[in-house]
Amino acid sequence: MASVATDVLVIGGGAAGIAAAVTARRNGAEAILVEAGPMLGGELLHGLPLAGLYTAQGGRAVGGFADGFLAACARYGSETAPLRDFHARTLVCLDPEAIKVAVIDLTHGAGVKALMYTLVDQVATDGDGRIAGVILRNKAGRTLVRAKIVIDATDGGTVAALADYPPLDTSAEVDRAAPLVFRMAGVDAAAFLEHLAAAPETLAAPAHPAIAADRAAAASGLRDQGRVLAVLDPAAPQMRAAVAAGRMIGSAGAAIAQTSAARRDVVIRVDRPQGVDPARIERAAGIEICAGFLRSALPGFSQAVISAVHPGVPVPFVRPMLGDRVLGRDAGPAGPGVVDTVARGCHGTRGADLSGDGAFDIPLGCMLPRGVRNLLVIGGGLSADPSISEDAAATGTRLALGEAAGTAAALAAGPAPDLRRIDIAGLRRSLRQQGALLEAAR
Amino acid sequence: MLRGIIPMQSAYASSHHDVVVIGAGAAGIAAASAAARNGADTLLIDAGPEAGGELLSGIPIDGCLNTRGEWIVGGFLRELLDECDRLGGYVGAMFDWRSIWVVCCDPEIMRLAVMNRLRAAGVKTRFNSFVDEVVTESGRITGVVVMDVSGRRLITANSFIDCSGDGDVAVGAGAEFIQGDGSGTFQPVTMVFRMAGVDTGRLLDFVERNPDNLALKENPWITQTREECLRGLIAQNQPKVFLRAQGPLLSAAIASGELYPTALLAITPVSVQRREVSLNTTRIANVDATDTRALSAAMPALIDQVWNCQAFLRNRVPGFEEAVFAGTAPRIGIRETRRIIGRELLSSEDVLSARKRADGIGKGGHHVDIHGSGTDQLRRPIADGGSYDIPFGCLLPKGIDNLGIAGRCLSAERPAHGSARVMGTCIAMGQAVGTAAAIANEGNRRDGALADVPVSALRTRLAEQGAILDGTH
Repeated sequence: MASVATDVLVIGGGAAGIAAAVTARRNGAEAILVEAGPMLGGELLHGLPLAGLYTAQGGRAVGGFADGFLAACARYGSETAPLRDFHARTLVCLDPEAIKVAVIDLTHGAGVKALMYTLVDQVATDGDGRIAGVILRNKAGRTLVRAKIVIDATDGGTVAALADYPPLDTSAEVDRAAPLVFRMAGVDAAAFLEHLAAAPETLAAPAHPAIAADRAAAASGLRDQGRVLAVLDPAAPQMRAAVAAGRMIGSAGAAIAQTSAARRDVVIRVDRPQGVDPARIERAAGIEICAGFLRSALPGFSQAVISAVHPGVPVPFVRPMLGDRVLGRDAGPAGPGVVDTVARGCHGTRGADLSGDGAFDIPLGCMLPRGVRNLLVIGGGLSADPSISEDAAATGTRLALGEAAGTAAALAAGPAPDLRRIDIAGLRRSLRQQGALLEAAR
Repeated sequence: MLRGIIPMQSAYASSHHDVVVIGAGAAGIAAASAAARNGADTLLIDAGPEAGGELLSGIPIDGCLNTRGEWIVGGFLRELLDECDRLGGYVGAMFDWRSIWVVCCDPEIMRLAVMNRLRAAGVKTRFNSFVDEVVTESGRITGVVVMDVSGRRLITANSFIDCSGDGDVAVGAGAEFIQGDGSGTFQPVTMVFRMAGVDTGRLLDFVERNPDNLALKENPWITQTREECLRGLIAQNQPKVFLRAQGPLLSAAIASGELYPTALLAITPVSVQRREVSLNTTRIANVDATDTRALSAAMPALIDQVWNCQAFLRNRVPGFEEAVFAGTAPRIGIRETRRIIGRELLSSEDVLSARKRADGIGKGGHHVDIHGSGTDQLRRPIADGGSYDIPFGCLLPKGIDNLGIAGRCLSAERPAHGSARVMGTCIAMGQAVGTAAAIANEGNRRDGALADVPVSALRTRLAEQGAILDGTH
């Protein structure tokens, strides 16, 4: 078996993994980034808008790497301004086709060694609380990677699970039914937004009075914003009639968001599609019905055509591990005088907790599985209570988690690496210097 | 301590099928659909998240018609194109007035069409599953071990079909093979990309006024004059334009460094409504695509070329002034890796002479098309604008009786492979080998030995199901 050594090995080439690998590299560490599929980008590639960069009220919650990421997307033609959905979130509606190019620019530009089409086969531990090596498998065979620090940025917490680190008790696991996701081009934004203003009952009600007073106010806000972005109410009369008549599948609602103004392209997410399993090839029939409904029922969509279909299952497979801290359960500082916030996330639909600044602190400890010194877990394996794990899995939040993990990894990637012995104040200083946001805006 | 997906003690989960197809590209979906519709319990496995392979890239489907414009592939291809058409994603068959007919579809609609056809045939699917091991016993494959994020699984079957493109299963079972030219030369890998909002009228107006930029009339079967070809291309009224490296536009851009060295800038319509075209132009030669590290390392340079070319198009090519970048293919396109040594070898002479055979199970009609590095490309026409038959033995690896192959890993000399590697031909091969696998599982003979299926019975069944085996040039 071939063997290679590196400072930092990042498994998972989605938002978290890209941010982690690039940041580790920028902080002076060698980084290998491993992705199972043929492209870097993960869920960034399928058009769903980025949540977690801004709070529901529009405050900025994530900076640092995310700033550079948005700038790169803008260089490749994407709009990057925050947009309010006037339901529960402030989103950044990026062009996934620009993202494809931007992530290659960022990773290659930083000197990250990316390896696509590659799975993790086995994890070797050394008896001293460290991962000694990770065996990768791809068409060319098996390779042992000896890394000082391993970052697990996979949806399923694969590395932590393979190494048998204890999982988090998730008896209260939230239901993560997969949505249908596809795109349509040729959408007339003005006609669509005028329709919403004339028929605000189409929209889902605002989740909080601070977001919008009522549906009419939300519709008018969306129209003034001038971009396609809307959360549709499954109980709206038009939707219910279409479902009853078999012209639309039943669902828990649908969200529509711009991906490219130039192509008049939007992404559509249909939540909990009834009678359609988004994980199976049967989903094609469901998408055909949804697209037909939009064309026939929604002004602005009459000339729209399908422009992309999500290739797989859009909802992450989540397998949280038990970390030093559990996000959403252990509030407050880690100990007397210890401030260990390394990233921030935003409350979304579920919480609609707008009592504070709309964001929550993420401590380093929820990336550190118990019983191992050199592993950070920042994807679906993050140690987070189900009540908050969906918000922590927002793509924008994963950029922040990745930056924190990559910076911590570079700091710890010396001899006898131990993530619990790094200078947290120094880590936070580095993150701030990179532009990361670690405190509530004043 | 070593911990793996499956601890050493525990058993693999397992399942058994009549036919297992590995690889869900053009050949694999045809093979799986054909096996399932002929009654076999069929599982289709792919390492990626979805089915369709290069059909989703945006490049046109070559090899469906010969240079004369006769359809030479029917059956599953016809069903797939009809489904694309029903969903509004069939642009049409068109002639490049250079050498070949191509079939143009919307790759995003193709995604839906592929899923619908697999479902209609009753194919079982398993995605994100990588074949880790091939299990053999006395000259037969008994199973494959696949791995995914949740573990390993042993999948056994009576018959196996390798549509991996690289012949991974055949090689895993000990089949002999040749890679590229045998000395490290491979046709280039490509990242296909798309541009939306293209003005076809302006593009055609430009090429009409500057015909030196066009590749036209390369095939001696085309009797029209170059001027008549140009008029034919313009009259077709499609953004199906092949800009050649030797023309003034590309040669100046390549010489000045404005554009990377390439043999071609092939523009193909993919969506009428979105006024969208695909571009087949980027290239990095001599990457061994079975070397994952090398293939991964090709990505930044390919993406650089994509961005370089979209800017070039917008700045220099009339019709693209208002066009916008509309994305890349889902993955790097691979032209050439391994060719498995089968019971028969498709020869260059077979292809160039348009040889017909009694044991033919499908037809190829794409010119011999070997891309080299930089501006280099070898193209040789098939005699008389016709097509050649692919013998069944090219799909049967030597020494492994219950394994069939289809797609670009077929048993062929390198120039012959340069013709047969295209998607239309891959679909014809796939349907043939899938049908053979189903026959090998019929009645009392459930040994799954494809190699024992009489070619006459196979041809009869294929013809009944719409395959085109006879009656064309």
